[in-house]
Amino acid sequence: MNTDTMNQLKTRLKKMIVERLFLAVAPADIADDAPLMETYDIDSVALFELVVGLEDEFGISLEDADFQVSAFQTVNSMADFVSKKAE
Amino acid sequence: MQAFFFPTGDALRLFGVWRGVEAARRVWVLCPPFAEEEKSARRVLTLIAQELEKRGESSLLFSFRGTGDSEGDFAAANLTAWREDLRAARDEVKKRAPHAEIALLGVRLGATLALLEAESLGAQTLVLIEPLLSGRSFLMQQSAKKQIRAQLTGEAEAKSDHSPSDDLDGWKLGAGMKTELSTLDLKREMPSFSRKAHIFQVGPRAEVAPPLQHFADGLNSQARAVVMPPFWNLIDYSDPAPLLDGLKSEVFDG
Repeated sequence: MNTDTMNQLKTRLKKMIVERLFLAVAPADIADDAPLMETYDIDSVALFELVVGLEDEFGISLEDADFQVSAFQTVNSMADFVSKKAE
Repeated sequence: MQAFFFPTGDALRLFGVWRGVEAARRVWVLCPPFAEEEKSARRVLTLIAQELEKRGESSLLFSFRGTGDSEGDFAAANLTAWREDLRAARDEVKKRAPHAEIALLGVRLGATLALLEAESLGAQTLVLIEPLLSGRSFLMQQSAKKQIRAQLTGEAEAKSDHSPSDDLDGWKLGAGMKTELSTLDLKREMPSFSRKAHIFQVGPRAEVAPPLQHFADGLNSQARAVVMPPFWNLIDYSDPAPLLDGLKSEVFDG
């Protein structure tokens, strides 16, 4: 995945995060490397919403074997996870 | 309000709460979602029942076998049995209010079951709130939920003596339920309902998602997006006003 495509993916992910978690921030204000759980107080319920968001909006189905909470640490890690699943 | 038990065809007793008069023109059977989702959805379903009562309509909010206070073993339940439970609820309504129109309102799996039975139960109104379109997708999501909790708390998944998807937040799935859920796919096998259904998407988006729109088109019905958190997944209180307003304007006032 080239840099432009990766940046577009991160933009979509930020929009999904803001929408799914009803965050009062602009998607562009989320830093790529910001620790999401600490910065936005994401708990297990909110994290589950992101899992559902990946499935609904990115067509990513999470099998048990490849599910790791660490994939949701930052926008960068989510983008890496989504791009690998899309390969 | 009356809280009571009513019988199923195989002599179990299901718990139900009746609100409203028995002489109501229309009686709603309120179908809750599955397992932990039932707990989170309870308050919203009660608020819907109270709203209906204010309007002179009646409702029966019940629990499927093996859930809530209803009799039966959850591990032995399956979708076929739960469809029979829905029939038992309709029979109870007919016993109490023989001349009333039957309306069905379901949330998530409760919506899916309501749709599957609506035609045969003679429902004249059908409200589907975030119907579960794919049982397999639901099972995977529930498994992810369990994985999240295990990983965040450091709880070893290996403690479980069965595979993650056999146990949903402490609700042990029987083989029959797992098989039926795995093969449940409303996108591939659309049930028929001869009237228009009222379909509600609940979530962050103001536009109806393409899969739900496609599903609604297949039912020759309209889908409406309600912007609010998915209350069936939440532990904390979420203001149900957007959904109640949508129900009033789309269904109850009609």
